[in-house]
Amino acid sequence: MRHSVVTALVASLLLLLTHPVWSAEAQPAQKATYAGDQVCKACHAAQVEKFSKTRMGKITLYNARTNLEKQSCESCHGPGSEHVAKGGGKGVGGLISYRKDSDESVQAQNESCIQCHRGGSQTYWEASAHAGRGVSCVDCHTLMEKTTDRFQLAKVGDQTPFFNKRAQTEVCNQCHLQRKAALQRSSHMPLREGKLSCADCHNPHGTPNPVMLKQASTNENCYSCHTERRGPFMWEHVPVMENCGNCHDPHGSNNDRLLKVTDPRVCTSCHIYDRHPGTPRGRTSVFFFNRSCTNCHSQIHGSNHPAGKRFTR
Amino acid sequence: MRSHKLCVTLTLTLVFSLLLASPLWAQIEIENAVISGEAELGGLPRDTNGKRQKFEEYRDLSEGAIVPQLQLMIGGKREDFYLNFDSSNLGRDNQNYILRFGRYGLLDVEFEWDQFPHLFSLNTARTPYDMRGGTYTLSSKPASTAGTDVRDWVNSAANAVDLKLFQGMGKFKLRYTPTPGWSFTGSYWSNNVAGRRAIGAYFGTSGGSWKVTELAEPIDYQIHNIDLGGEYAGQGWSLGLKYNASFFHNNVSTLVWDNPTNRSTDGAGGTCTDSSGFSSTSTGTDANRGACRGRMDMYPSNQAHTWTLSGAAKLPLKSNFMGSVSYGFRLQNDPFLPQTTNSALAARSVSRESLDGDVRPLMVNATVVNRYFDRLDLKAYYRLYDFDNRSKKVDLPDGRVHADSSVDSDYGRGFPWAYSKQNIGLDAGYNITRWLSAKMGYVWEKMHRERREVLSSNEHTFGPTFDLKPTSWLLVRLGYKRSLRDAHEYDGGRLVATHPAEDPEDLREEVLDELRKFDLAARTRDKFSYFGQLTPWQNLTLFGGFDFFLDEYPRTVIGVQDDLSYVPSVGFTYAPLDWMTLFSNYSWERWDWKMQAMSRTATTQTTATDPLRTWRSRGRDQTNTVSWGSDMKLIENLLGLRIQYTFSEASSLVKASGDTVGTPATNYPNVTNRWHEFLTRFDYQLHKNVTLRFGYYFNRFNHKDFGVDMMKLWMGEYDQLSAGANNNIQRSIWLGDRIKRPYTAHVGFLTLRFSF
Repeated sequence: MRHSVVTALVASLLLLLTHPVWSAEAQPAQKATYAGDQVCKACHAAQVEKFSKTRMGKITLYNARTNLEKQSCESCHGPGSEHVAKGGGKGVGGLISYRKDSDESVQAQNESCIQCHRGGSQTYWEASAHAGRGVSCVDCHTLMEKTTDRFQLAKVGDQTPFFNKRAQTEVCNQCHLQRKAALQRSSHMPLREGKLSCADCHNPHGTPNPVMLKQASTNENCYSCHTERRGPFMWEHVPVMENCGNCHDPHGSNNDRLLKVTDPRVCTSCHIYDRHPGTPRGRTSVFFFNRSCTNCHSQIHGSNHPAGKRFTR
Repeated sequence: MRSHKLCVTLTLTLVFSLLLASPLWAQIEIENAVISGEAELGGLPRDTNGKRQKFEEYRDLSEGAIVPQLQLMIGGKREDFYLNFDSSNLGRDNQNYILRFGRYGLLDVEFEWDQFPHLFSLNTARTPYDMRGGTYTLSSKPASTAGTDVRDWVNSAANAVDLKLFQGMGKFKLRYTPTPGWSFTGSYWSNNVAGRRAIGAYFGTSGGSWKVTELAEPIDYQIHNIDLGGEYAGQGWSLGLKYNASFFHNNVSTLVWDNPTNRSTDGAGGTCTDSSGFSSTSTGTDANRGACRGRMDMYPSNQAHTWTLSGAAKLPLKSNFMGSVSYGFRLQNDPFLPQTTNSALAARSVSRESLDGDVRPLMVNATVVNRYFDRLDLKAYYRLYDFDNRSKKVDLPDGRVHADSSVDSDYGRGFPWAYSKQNIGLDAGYNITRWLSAKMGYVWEKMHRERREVLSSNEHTFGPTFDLKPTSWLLVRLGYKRSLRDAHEYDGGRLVATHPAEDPEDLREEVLDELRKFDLAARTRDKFSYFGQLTPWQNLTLFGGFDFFLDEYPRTVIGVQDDLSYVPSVGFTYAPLDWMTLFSNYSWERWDWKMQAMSRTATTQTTATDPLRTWRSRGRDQTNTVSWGSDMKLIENLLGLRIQYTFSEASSLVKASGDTVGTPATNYPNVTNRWHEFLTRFDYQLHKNVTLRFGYYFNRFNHKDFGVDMMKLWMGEYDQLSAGANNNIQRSIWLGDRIKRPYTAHVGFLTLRFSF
């Protein structure tokens, strides 16, 4: 009985989903043709002028090499003949719109970008968490006027002698509010000083790695800069070797050295009964004072000294 | 002196402003090129009190002239080529220079120089050592380790040492696209990290004898990184190959330091004599003071090479395939040091001269995305990460020397550790309406580890996400995930036998059966996230978020019990008037954790949990972060004003209770910090190309940390604490670099920004 119900449900779902109404094949093909950027310029001179200052403008308007690039405005907005024939206007003629108040689907907007931006760091875009959650390219990038020197980001940086809000980080902060707050913590990497940005560790266009990391594992990401900790060592501290994130929060922490939990608790999370950590000593003990466990076990990331089993040499 | 510098700076700024306001400064055209640029220069008067290491942790805000930005752009009149030079904070420790040039769509070349400091302590730390390279020597030693002798000696013999690192990185990048399909990339960067930071070192044999000697570790790293890649993107497919090489070289491979408690140099001839004994008493003789010097192995030089092949292809039925394979080598073969410098201890052999460290990480990924049905998005992927450690096993048949002081005669052995992780993920997303999509995701993760307490574990993660955008002015994203990790075969006694004849079962007698390590233990994880954005009017955007996670370890008796975190955030951007924008946001972060531990008896371990010795600990981290500000065009095209303020307040509290037969567990006082940052900046347009920028910056930081607050400069006043409780601290030598004092900084600035 249960099998029958499940089979019937699955069959119904399949029938429903294969219905031509929901298939892209059923969409009527657009008949519009390319009108040419001179036609666009006739009405949208100001926009074209601003666009010509952007890197994409310089490529499509002056240095186009592919047929698609040669269509300049229409390479992104689609063929404009119907828009022209109907006298123009917002939403007229089936042009793809990128305005914030447009009803254009995110998928249609993004597909337009992917026509050209399909390799390199965008290879995994289709499988990325951002694509899966309906994030549009124009949520992070601006097309029509020059914003940042690189990547045409939707936010501009604010560079002062005191702090440097890099546009890349500001773009991510639009949605990642928790991370934005973490940048203000006392123990932090130099993101708010502008020496790092989110994109130094993550590729927002998607990767085959967890949390869109650029490297194959958390540690390999950290080793990009902290190469000294890469080892391999004769004496490995295994949780360290597996994941730096077991002890550190790279986005910011209240505790020194980006520790997730204050020392010595970060160590006693595992080293609970073995010799001295098992005693809940007071704050004037050498086990807690100053650098706590690393007063002695200073080579905690691994030791290559034959006498370094306890990470003291 | 300060007012003189300020005068000079202001005069220079004024002269420049007159000069630059000249009509000569207009965009320049030379034959086929157009030259434009921007420059900002001025002065930075300031008044600070307190410790500036935190104020200038990664930046240089010293008083004097400043050039925040200098930019030069040359472009072809035919818009075919470009050359941009961009620099910031010229002449300062955090300066940056970038030179980019190329032809649009064909070639991009970039050179960059970037540097910044990382300050740990300035005018706080001191050390009695004479530091030359990796050899640290003492010209005198304390009379004894009794009473205040160590403190008195340090105070008379030590010199100040600043602990800071300095990073300087040169980069070169190239991207060449000979045809629209082919692209080649190459980059090289070299990073030099130099300076000093604190490192703990000690001599001794057991807890009671420890005498910590903090040292200012010499850092002199050189890192070289090379990336080469080529990719072809055809119609509906792309394939790329990349190679990365990374070389780390440590110019200081060992650190050798004199043992301050071995006083035999005081004798005739000044020759130090190694001792095979080590006394824990404060008045022991030189015969019980261990080695004359200790020796530590600094991070060994290493290198890594990685090849990555990745590609994507469009498949039938509106499917896309993405895949990548990467394989690498991590190599390290620095020669081993002898086990000790202590000639009074019999030499202990090591089975190899070096590790021959060789790790071969492999990553394989295959992902398929299908959008055959308009409303249905499907994704499936497989991922393997294999940490294949082929480093050699190292035997220490005569045992191990401990801290250059004593010998553990048991056979020792160092093993390579390895693990692999496999994931299979399935996502099904359905666009219920044009404005509402829902997705269900599932990920299975299989971990294999060698020799650890859990050899194999499975984690299943599943949960829905919802994305709502009913109108262009409302966006809501919701997500929930639940993860279940098993660890049925957790075996706390699966220790590695360190002696060929050792029975692993014997080792179980030293292991607490009910201990579960949090990175291996059975775990349930709940994660919830919410983000909403509301734009009721074009001039007002409200946003808010809520992130929550809860990790629970249901089968853990001893170990971490749970981790709980939640972070609500709210904010807005509002432009009530054409000339005014207001913005603000606030986040409250909270993280609670709970663990249960057991103390041992004075001399023995027990395998069973003893309720009387069990103690609990709870931690709570809280952070409030608020920022607000405004951008105003007070006079259109003439005078602008920006005001912004950020305040962050954080506290960490640890409470502990239990252990009725040993040392009772005690609470720790709150660790707190407060950060204020305020900036007000006026932009006054003197000329169409010249802007005068002036304002005021305020920054204040307070910090309280029980672990270091009792530390005093020059090792003073430890003796105010009870000698019994504080004995080890009194006998030790501390740098004092972690002493944290509040600071307050008032900084003015006056710059002239001109463009041409």
